[in-house]
Amino acid sequence: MNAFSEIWQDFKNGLLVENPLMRLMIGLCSSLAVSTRVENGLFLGVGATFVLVCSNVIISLIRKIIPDEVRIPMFIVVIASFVTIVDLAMKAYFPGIYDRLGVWIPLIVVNCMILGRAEAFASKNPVIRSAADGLGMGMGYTIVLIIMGVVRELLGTGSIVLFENTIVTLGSGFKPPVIMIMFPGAFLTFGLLMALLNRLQNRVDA
Amino acid sequence: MGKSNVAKILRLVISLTVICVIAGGGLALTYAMTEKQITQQAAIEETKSNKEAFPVAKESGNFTARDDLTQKVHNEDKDIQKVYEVKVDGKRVGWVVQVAPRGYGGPILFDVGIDPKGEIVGISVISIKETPGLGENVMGPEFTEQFIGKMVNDNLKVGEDIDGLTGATISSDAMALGVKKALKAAEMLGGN
Repeated sequence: MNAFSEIWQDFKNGLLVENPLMRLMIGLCSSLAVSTRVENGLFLGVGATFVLVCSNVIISLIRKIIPDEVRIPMFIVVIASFVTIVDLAMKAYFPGIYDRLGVWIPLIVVNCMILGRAEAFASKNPVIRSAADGLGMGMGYTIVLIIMGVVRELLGTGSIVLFENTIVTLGSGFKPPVIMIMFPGAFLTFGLLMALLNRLQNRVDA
Repeated sequence: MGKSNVAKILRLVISLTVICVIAGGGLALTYAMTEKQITQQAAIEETKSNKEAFPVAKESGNFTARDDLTQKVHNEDKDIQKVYEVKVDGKRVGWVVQVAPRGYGGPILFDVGIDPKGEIVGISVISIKETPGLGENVMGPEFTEQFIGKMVNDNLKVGEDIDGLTGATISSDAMALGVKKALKAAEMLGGN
């Protein structure tokens, strides 16, 4: 396998085969809480992807000089720094969305997806492959958040609003089932999405 | 303790110190870069919301945060966040009171514009963490416009003179309570 296809493989891995939410099942709490709106999912996803790529790159760069005994605190310092950068940047440029995402931005620090990739991948692999892994994982996470957001926002509120523009609406005759916006709706959407994915996977494998 | 042990511990301490110093430097830099934008953004939001809460003063109005008065009413009621004096052509035309009553998902921060007669002229929500599609709808005009013209002696109870939003009782109650508190604060300020 040449270098390029190896990097491509690392990137593709996170999208589907090892999708953090659907396959590895890590970082679930944030996905359940934030997927009430497409916009929220998009921004948290992009924020988490940025943190994931940057922390993977830095950790991969310093992987040979990190003493094994203190690697976890060092990973956390790196991750927390990038999360704070995202936090400040969003507060400065997207205050409305920053307000709505609230505690979930700082909580990216404890998203096990990020520490998980640092430990399982970036601390053992070269920089470019780690960046590809971070990007793939982050995008896989973002895509699932957006799909869940589309289902929940559309069914739960009757329309999808992006940057204060209504993109799709089911019309005023549609009475939105409120449960889709509440937590049961999150579990329902997540479970059905996973079932669908498994079924597709079985088809492909068969 | 052997010599190699000391060296090992020293190595751990140095690695951790170095990474923390670098991280700290990077964060200080980011902070310096975003600080101005964050304060600017906050000021823009503040003026925008003030104007929405006091439509008469939209064009030529002047909103001044009165920290002295804020302190006074905040001591009476912790939910009162800020008091702005509204002036048009140098004459006071009313107050904007910022309140933050507790809703379902946290405090709902909003401005209430009150004229010298003690009547509400407008309401503008600044930040809200209520459930999207449910509690969040209390920021819409359908709900907030009910309060216009209300005074401190009105009941301001959901189900009585205010229609709550279906499925958003806590958010509706919080808004009504916040408005009541703002009116009380304005009464206290009076002609001050």
